[in-house]
Amino acid sequence: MRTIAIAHHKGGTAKTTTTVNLAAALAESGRRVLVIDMDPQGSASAWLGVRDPELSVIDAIRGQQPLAHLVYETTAPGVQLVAASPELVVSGPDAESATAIGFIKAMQALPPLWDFVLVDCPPSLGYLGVAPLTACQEVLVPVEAHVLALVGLSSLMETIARARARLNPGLRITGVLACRVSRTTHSRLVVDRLAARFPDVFMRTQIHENVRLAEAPGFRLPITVFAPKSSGADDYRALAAEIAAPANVAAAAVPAAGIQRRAPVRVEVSQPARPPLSARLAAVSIRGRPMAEVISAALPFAILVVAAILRIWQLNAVGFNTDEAVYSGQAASLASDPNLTPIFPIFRAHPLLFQFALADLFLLTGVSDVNARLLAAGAGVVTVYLVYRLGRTLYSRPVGLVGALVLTVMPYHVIVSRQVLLDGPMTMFATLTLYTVAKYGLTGARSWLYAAGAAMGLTFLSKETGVILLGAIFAFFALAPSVAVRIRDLFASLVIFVVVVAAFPLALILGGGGGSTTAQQYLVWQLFRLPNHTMSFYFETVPSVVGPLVLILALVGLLLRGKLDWRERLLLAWITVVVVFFELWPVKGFQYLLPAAPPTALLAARGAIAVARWHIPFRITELGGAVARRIARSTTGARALLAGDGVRERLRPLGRVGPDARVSLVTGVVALSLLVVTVPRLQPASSAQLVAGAGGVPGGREAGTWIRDNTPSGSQFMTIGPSMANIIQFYGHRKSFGLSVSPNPLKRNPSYDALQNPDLQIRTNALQYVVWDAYSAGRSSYFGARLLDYASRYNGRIIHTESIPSPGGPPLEVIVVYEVGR
Amino acid sequence: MRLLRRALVAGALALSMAAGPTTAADPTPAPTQTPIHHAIFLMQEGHSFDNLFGVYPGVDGIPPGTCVLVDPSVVASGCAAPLWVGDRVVPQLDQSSNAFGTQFDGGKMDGFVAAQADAGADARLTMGYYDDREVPFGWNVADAFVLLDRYFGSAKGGSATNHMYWISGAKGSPTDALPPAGYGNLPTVFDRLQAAGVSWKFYVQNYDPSITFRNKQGLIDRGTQVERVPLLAFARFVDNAALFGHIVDLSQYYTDLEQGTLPAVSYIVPAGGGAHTPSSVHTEQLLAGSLIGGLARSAAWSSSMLLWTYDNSGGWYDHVTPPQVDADGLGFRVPALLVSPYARKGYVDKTQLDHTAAVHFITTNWGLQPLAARDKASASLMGGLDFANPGRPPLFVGSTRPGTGVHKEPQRSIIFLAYGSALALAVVLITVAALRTRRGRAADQGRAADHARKDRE
Repeated sequence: MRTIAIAHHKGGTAKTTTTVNLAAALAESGRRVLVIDMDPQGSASAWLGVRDPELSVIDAIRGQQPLAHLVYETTAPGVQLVAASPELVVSGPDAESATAIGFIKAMQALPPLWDFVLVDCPPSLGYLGVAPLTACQEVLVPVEAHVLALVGLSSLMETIARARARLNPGLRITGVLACRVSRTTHSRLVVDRLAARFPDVFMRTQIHENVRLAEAPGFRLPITVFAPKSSGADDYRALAAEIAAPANVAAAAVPAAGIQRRAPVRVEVSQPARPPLSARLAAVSIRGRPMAEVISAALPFAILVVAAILRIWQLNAVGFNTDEAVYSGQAASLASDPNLTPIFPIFRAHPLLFQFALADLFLLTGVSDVNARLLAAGAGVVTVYLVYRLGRTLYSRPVGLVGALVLTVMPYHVIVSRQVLLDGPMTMFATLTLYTVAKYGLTGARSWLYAAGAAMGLTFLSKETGVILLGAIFAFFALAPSVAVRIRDLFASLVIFVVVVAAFPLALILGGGGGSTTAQQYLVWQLFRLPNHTMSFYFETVPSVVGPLVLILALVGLLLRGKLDWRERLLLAWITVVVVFFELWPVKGFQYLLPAAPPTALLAARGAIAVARWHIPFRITELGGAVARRIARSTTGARALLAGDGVRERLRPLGRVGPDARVSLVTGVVALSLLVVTVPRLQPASSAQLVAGAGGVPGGREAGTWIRDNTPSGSQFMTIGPSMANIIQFYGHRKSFGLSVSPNPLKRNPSYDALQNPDLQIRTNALQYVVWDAYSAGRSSYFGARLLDYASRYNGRIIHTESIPSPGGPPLEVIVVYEVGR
Repeated sequence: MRLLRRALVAGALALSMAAGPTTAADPTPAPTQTPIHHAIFLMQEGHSFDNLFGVYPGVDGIPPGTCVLVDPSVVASGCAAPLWVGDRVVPQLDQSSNAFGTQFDGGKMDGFVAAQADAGADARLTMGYYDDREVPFGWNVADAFVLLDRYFGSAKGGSATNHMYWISGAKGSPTDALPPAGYGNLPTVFDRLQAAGVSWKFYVQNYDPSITFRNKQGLIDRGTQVERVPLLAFARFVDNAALFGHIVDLSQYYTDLEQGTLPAVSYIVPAGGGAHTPSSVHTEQLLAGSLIGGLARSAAWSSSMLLWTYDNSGGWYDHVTPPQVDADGLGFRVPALLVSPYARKGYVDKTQLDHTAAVHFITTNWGLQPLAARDKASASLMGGLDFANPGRPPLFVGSTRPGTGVHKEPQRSIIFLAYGSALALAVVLITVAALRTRRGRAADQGRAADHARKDRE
């Protein structure tokens, strides 16, 4: 890790311009770069897209947070930032020296997580200006090629010399850099004078005058991103190459004795005799790239591969449940499948975005249950990727990676995204919406707000309940005043949402076929439906599959980190709106809370990293309460112990484990705790007790297929309830009616067909088969018995029995098909 | 042509032997010329072709502009156009051979209304027709299987004569009425089957074994059982217990289907007055539905053929002049539907046929001697069958017409367009946001200028 102070005695564009663009150019060449903004004006912070940060370098200077915990992602890929604070401006020599000392201490504690740390120095030579020169190994001096710029340069050089002599003997001048070099004679003269005056350290690279360089900060982008082909970008790439060149590295590698001597921090301790594993691994290189770098780059892909495996393995072991049959049946009908079109009406209750995508797939591959599930699983994997991007955008790459891993193995998300349900795709688009809002929060670019409107529209088109997240977005803007939003832009975004969502009513009205009537009836029915579960339903079913550890870590992360940044407010608004709405809504479903899973995973990731990095100053906040105070007391106690030398020595083996390794350890524990729940759920269940939405229905596909192969096409079936009817319709290609569906249109789901007068239907030979199943009979013994009544009354002959293996017993008869009437 | 047919039949035969659907109850099916091992003949009563299928698309139906003079001798008497019967109650229409003469009018086909003059004000109802609102099942069967639109009643007379042609290829009696002493020694198709050891049964709905030609007088309605089951007017079938046992109640049909004991040849007749006016047209549909549905879900389906026809036109109008092949007939066209796994889907067979085609099929399929001139000369029923293809899987024909009811088909292209556009719009907006931020063109120009100024300061 090379620490370089970018110093100039007077303000101006050269210093900040050099800091930001050099950082971006270094990152572009694959280096991990941290920029620490010590300029109270915060120009570099603003340029890199971090506005009004909740956390800043001042927190480290005051000893409240280590620098490593104040890191923000920036608009420059690969560049992280510790933001400046107006509070850096202090008055009085005491306060100033305290600030300087605080900074030096914070720098000493900085873990070697980066290849380059660039410090944008304040434009003064007071205590604050000297502090970076004391804390860094190197100093880079950008000079504008203008004669006035030379004035005072000598005083800066004197300061550097003084710092080297008294405070930091290892301080090395990286170079004197000529900036804003133009073609004028005057400019050339200045460059020549500089070169003559600093023959040893004058940089070969010169930064030429470039109008794009002046424009870039307005867009909060480094030149390498803003105008990647401009001469300004090329100049900074050349500078990065020169600074990172082996000659420079070798020079920098000369031990800076001053720093070594004052290294009391655990993290910095290394064992010269045996370098840590990570260091040894890092030394190995693959095709010219360091091994560690290759592994790091491959991590997101590895997580996605695991996500895909968990969502695909044994995907086809058990056939569809009723909802899966309905959505796939709708898609098959939309794709004009000759067998299913007469049975499944296209319009039922929900919008059709997922069914539309599934229909396109069916047109390519033919109707297939496993293909439908693969599409749903694909949406699950994309959601994992979006969580990674979201975490990286809001916090840092590690948070993104850990969050993605948590969601990858979270039983809740795995179970739901292995089924053909609308909630998986809806959650995918909801997470996309979250990402666009986060991008807006970071960049303030209104195009992201428009994108959020569009993504929100897709969320609604996947499942109409997604509309509640609109409330989450508005709540977020209300609760996070630091993210400014203009009413005009918000309104435009809302218009975009409405335009995208218009596909739903337009298809209903223009498509014809009575779809709008069904949809209206369904809405009315949903609104006045009786509760199907008690208020405690979600508390009993969901936490165990989200993972208790995940929830604890998310909470701990929130408590430990103190005040809530706009980022946490966004995630919390999302989770709260989903949980509160569905808790109050009378109709409950196992999978309904899924949109809250991705933000929960990210909060847990944040918590996991906070716990792993341990030495966190615990700030008690309004959120904390007594619990937080207790945690804080005990942990600060632990910290005090750790600070003692003897204890530290004894704890050294632990200390040798770097922060990265500890993050991995905590993440591994969380992942394992989830996997032990997830993996058994992938196996086919062998019980007649099923939770709706929790998986397939064993035996249903097999019975349906038998019916398709062994009964006349066009024959009609009666089942106990609509659930088995849908399965038989999908796999059996036979119209089926649930006996329990009320003939009273006010009391039934309007998308179900009721059976009017089963006796007459059987006697007139309109209904020829009756199907009993253990699942429905288990839920409603009344209708189960009535169905068997019909079978015995009309000469029922058992023509097929479907059994599933039952552990430690005879096979369990789950489905029985009777032929009735004549 | 003949060579081709022979080759087809031979191929089909080989196929049927290879596939060999042998049930436990029927271990050695009699050898057949076709894969059909179960032939079922259902004869219902009293409808002309135009009456049930006159407006069925794609057939020789009621021609546009049809109008039949109320009194053929007086042009000014006006004419009666075809009318949809709907659920109107229709009085008993005259279907005797006398009425046929008036209707036929020497081939002018203009006496249909006049023939029903006795029916009074309702005479014009003879011009009535039904459509798929009343005959949904029949129309669905026509959609799924074969409809024969050149199938005539065998005789211009009533029920008894047509039933006789159906089982013997001959009239069997000089008059239209049932001979009081029975039909004597006239050979029937069942004699041929019995001699060849081919199984057969005559299924009778609401069968009363006590009613035969000997005691039918005075029973009025129930006595028509003998007309519908002419075997009950043969002393040798009535007196021989073994032969008599082949005549059974229709409930036995379902038992035979369930137990796999369906004989090679089955004749089926409905209960008395089943479909005669003024009876409901729905009743006969229900019966046929039940028979065909039972067949479809039985093991016999894969080697079966069912001919569903009507004895005579029942006094209803039909526009096709029946060819007169002899003194008896032919009669007017009657509906005929052929159901079989080998039936071509939705096929209209235009071969000229009459009830003797049943006898012709049986004697041909099981290699028996013809019975009489008419059945010997009959064309083949099998024009609508296609033995070159493997039989179709069983199909249950319902009583709901496609396109009716609540589920009207939405336009898929609009749904695809709506959702496709929404998705495309969203993808474009999100991509634009991503690209704009990357290239730096996105930010608000005003704010950008502000920041640029601040940065330079």
